[in-house]
Formats: sequence, C-alpha cells, structure tokens
Amino acid sequence: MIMTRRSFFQLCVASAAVIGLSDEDLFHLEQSLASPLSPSIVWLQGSTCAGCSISFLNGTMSDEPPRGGNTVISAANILFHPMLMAGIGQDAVSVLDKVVAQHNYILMVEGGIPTAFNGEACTVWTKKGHTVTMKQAVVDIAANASAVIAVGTCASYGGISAAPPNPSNVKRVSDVIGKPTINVPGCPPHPDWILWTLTHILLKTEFATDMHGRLINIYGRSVHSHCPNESKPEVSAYGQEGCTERLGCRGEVAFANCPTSKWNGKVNWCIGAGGTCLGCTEPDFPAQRQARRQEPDEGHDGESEDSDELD
Amino acid sequence: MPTVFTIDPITRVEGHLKIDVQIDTVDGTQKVVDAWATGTMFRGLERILLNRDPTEAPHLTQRICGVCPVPQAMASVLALEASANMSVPSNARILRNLLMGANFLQSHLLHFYHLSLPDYINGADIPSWTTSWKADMRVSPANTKRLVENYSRAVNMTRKAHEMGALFGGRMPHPASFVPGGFTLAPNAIRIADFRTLLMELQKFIREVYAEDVALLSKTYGDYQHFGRGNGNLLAFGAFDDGANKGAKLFKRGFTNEGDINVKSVDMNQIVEYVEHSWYMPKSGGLAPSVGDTNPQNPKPNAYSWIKAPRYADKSYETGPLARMWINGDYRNGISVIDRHRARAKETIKIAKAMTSWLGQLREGEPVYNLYKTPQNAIAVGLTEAPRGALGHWLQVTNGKIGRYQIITPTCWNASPRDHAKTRGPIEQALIGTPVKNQLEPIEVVRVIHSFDPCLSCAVHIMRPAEDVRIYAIGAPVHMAITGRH
Repeated sequence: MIMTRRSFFQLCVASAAVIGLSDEDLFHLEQSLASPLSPSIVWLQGSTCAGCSISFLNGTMSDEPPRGGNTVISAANILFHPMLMAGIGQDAVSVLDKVVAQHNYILMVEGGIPTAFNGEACTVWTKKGHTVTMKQAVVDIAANASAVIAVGTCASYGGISAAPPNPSNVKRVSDVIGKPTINVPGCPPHPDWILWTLTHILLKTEFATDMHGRLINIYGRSVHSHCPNESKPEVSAYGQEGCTERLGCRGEVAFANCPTSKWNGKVNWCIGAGGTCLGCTEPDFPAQRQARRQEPDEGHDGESEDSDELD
Repeated sequence: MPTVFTIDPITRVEGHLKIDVQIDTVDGTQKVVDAWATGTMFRGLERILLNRDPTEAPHLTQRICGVCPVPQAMASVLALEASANMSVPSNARILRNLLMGANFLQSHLLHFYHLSLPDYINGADIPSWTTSWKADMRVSPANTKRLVENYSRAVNMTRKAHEMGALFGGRMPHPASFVPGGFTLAPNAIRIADFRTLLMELQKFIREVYAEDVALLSKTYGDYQHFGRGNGNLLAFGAFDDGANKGAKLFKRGFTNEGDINVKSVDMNQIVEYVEHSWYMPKSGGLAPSVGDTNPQNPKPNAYSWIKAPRYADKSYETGPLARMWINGDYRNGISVIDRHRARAKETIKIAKAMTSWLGQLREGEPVYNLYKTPQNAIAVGLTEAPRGALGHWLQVTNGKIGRYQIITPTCWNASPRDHAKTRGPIEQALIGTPVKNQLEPIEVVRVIHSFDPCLSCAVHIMRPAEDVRIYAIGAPVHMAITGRH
C-alpha cells in the first residue's frame, strides 16, 4: 500500500493476464489512478489479527531508489487505515467523516464483526463522548460506499473468530450490513487477490463471482486440481516429498490459485513447503481436520470432511 | 478546572486498545497522574480451541496475530511436544529459529518505521499523513526527508523478511510449516543460498539504516530517556533454542525488579491472572494459566478491559525487547521510551547475526520430523518470546482432545489493567509522570504507548474523572460542557 501510482500500475500490468485485463483496461486504470476523482479507500479492522493488512503490505513495491516525497500510502488513495495512518484520535475520525460525506469511496473491511454484548466486544473509536462499536461503524460507513470489499476469511465468512462456539458472536460483513460484499477470502488473502479485486472495482469492469462472492478468476479451481503433487504418492509423515492428503490437506475442497500464484514473491506456498492446505479460503474455515493423518494403516479414502461428525 | 479529553482511536498499533489518562498540574508542570489501559476487543480463541484436535493448535493460535504469527506457532508446538514428551530433529529446531528470526526482523522494522516514526516526523504530503499532529517535531528537514525515504525502503525490507521466512515456511504471515514433531520442509542448498542472500541484504539495512535512524532519534529526543520508565519490573521467558548446549537459548529466561541488574530465575508457579477489572466472570480470576478459563461478562462493575491482568508473584512486569536484552545482559542503559527503541534495534542486529550461524548449521538430507502422537491425557506449557515479549501457551489434553488452552501474550502483560490489589499494568504505570505540553495534541502519551509496540488497536481517552469537566475531542472539539460548580 505504500507505493507510487506507477508501481501500483506496474503491479496491475504484471497481473493483467490473470485477471483478464486488456490493454485498453490498463489505459483506463492509469487514467483513473491519476484522476483526483478516483475513489478514496476506507479500511476498517474488526475482529482481526491484522494479518490481512500485513499480507497486503507484502504485495507492494516501492521505487528504488525511493522517492520519498512522491511515495503515497496508496495510489488508490487509502485515506483511513487504523494501523498505517499518521493521524491520531479525532483527527483520524474527522478524515473518515469527510470521506463518507463525499460518497465517493470504497469500503474495505478486515476482520469479522462481533455482535455479542451489544457489539461491545469490539469498539473502534469515540465520537461525541461515546465509544462506537465496530458493528455500528461498518453499518454506517457501508451505507454510502460505492462498493464493500470483505478482505480475508473473517470479513467474508466469519473465519477463525466465528468458529464454534463463536464466543463474541462474530458475523460476516454482509450479514451485518444487509447487502452482499465482494469477498477476498484467505487467512490471510494473497496480496494479489486483494489488488486484483480492487482493480476490477476501480475500473468498473465486469467480473464473475462464485456462489461465495469470490472472483472466479482467482477462486475458480480447487487447489488439488492444479496441485503439482496431485499425481504423486501420498506421504505418511511430514518432511517427505509427495501428496499430503493423508496428513489432513484440504486442497480438494479449497478453491484458490495458490499452486500458480505462489506466495511472497512466488518463492513458495503452503504445500510447496511440505505442509497441508488448510482450506483457508473456504466458508467453513477453520473446519476441524481429519484425525486419520499419521496413521499408516489407514490409507483408505472416503470419509466425510464434515467436522460435526467428529464430536 | 478538571478536563476530559478523548483521543480515540490511537492509530498505528495492531488490534484494539483504549487508554484513559488523567492529567494534572504537578509543581507547575502538566503531567499524566494516572492511566487505565483497556483492551477493546474480545475474541475468545481459548474457547474456540476446546475439544479440537491438538494438532490444530499451531495453525489456530497463529491467527492471534498477523504480525507475529510464528512465535504463536512456536509456543504451541513446544507445548504439544512437551505434552507428548518428545524432541525434534536439530534441523527442525534450526528451521523454526530461522523462521521466527525472519518474523522478528520484519516486525521490528515495521514497528520502528511504520508504527512509531510518524510520532516524530511530519511525513510527505500524502493523504495518510495529512492529519498527523504537528507538535514537537524536532528532526531537521534534511533528516526528515531521509527518514521518509527510509520509511518507504523499510516496506521493501519487511516484504523481503517475509520472503525469507516463506522460503522455508511456505508463506508469511501464517506459515503452515510448524507441526508438532518438527518442520514440514527439508532444507536444500538452493533455498539455503536464497535465504542467505536475503538475510545479507536485511543485515546491511539493519546495520546501516535502521540502527542509524534509531541513533538519530535518540539524539534528537534525548529527553525521552527520562519518560515512560514504569516500575522497572522486567520479565523474559527466553527464546531461540541452541541445540549445541542443552537448555541454552539466544535469550535467557529470567526476571528482575525495579531495574536491578541481578536477574532471578522464573518460577512458573508464580504466574496468576486476575480479572477484578476485566470483563470476565469472577470465577475466571486468581487462577494460574494452567487451570485458567475464559468466561466473558460484560457489563461488569469496576471492569474496564477485555485483557486479564497476569502477574508474577503479584507484581506487574514489562516484557519485550528491552526486558529480553536486559535479562540477557545485552542492554542496561536504562528503561525509557528511547531505551525501548534502542534495545529493540540492538536486538534486531543480534538476531540477524545469529541467523547467519543457524543457517550454517542446517544439514541437507537429515530429518526434519519425528513422529508425533497425541497423548490421551497430559498437561504441558510452551514458552517462548514474540517480538513484543514473553509468550506462553498452557495446554491440557483430555481424551486426546484439547481440554484446556490458555494463552498469555506479551501485550497481556504490558497493556494489562489493574489487578485485585489495584496494581497498575506496565503501560498504565509507564504513562504516569509523562509531561504533556499541549493537551490538544498529547503526542508524549502516544510516544510512550508506541514504545511498547502494543499489539492492539488503541484508543486513548484523556480524562479527569470529576463532576466538573470540559470535554474536548483531541484535534477538533466536538462537545464542551462546563458545569462550573466550583
């Protein structure tokens, strides 16, 4: 998020083919980013570990040598981000008021929305002497937003915080604001997934989503279906080369392009590191995992993945 | 005239925290005279873990913190392995150290440049900097320009630290490679070489840029060596196991009181969590974490935080880089805002240097994993250090499932509220005595808070709880009520 418009644009060029952007689209994107009429971005954090923001930072490039004065927190004009903005207290909140009044902004929400204790399980700021709950904040700010993006699995579907017994009664963003969100699940989401989704919205290009509100370009295939280990023999312990299905890999039921997008400058990914796919992009994440891994005599398939049956 | 000021949110921290500060004039100087720290978010991860397969704990507990997930995974696998009474191959121990080291480098750079620096300089003319406070900015224009450039270079460096971790860990944050029994990936020469290249680049930046920038800040804000001391009680659990020497660690375990140089050994039985001022049922209080529970209750009289109050022998303890370096004998210049930044920078150099030697100890072709089997019933603890301080996971396995899981994170220690005896938490205590020049821009308060690197989004109220009050919102008065009964 800390990068110049040029480097943001370069990122989009680099990923254009994946998200199906034409040269003309890219031209419009460059124009749009340079325009003062480009929408602002408001980023809110609810019940979150901040991992989505940290992951997003990994997706950015800044110029070398750095051009300090030209560096912007975001080419896309991120005006409010509690973890990164310099402003403090009421000054920070007043920025928000101004942006919201202008009706030209995209709302990005990270984290689920706690509703227990009248929303007091998460308060985000104070206004006119009263603390404001995340629940109230997201309802108010979503109302005038031109689009609402749920960043990460918690905002998209509830995620970790909403796992049983859901102690703070976390709801996904769409259930709280009463309208659909564009979802970018992942725990955390890959920085490219966030950028690509945002790019589509900035360009107002048409895009297809699946039944879970995710971009099909990113989440259209199961991890297993294009996993390089798909045809390799199953391993029975970690540290060996092969398919980790028996160790609890959820690649068959998880949809994302991790096998091709890879992570962190494409140096590796979960399965590439000999680990299992945790299924972190799915609405049921964190589903309870199969207990049959590491039992060498239990090689057969066919059990239900349904977590409820385990208890 | 008593005055209530509200600053909320304090930005540039992870998570949600609110702090009330009472200000008064003492001997002609306006100072903080009391403070209350409030964690404003409850997630209850400890309850989510109940009845799940213990092997899920390293993955689930990482999601406590996206900035320092690796130490959570580390504490978790250490607890699981202790419960199964097993050890891991030395390759696994080294790979874990390397991943955790990468996480420390990323986190410390993020903290200095992106979370703290905007308290000391006015940045570029860009949207996210426009509303920063202008008070007490002392860095020269030329040096400000340099720091802003380094702010942006540091983004690249944190990204590269994550790349380094991902080479072995798969991805960052939230790597899938920490499993009870060891590590998921066997090291090979290519990955080791790539890791070394990135590490050398980071070491150069840390030495030549980060350390220099911290030195500049220490010089320019020398008076901050007198602010934010707190009670001087320091605690470290120790971390980064050194296999050559059984039980040895890069950072020792120990504690000390009131800034003493005599370090004492930690007796884990002395750790108790209190909830008198926390939004949990009274029955959750006064318990050791090994038998603790997490039953929320909100509203609750006299409670003001979602954080419990962990205490060691009924005293509150600061934890973090300064505590670690002090306990280890690596840094004993003092305890203050500036000392926290300097100790953190010195620690970053120390860890980066150790990583070079760990990398040389990896053995290609040797195992990374020993078979882990969940015990039917066991009790165990996993102790380590996160960038922000001492971290503990207390685990009980019951019938092969998680029967109890209690976590004490570093910020639980640092940002804890008052306990049963009304003893303040470390940040609360450190704020007392901080001079505040301009009540409308109490930047001094924010600098003290940020020096702890709290892992919470933070809201600060500056208040004076009396019946006669004037209410301001910092930066822009939103409401004023003067009763004037006096």
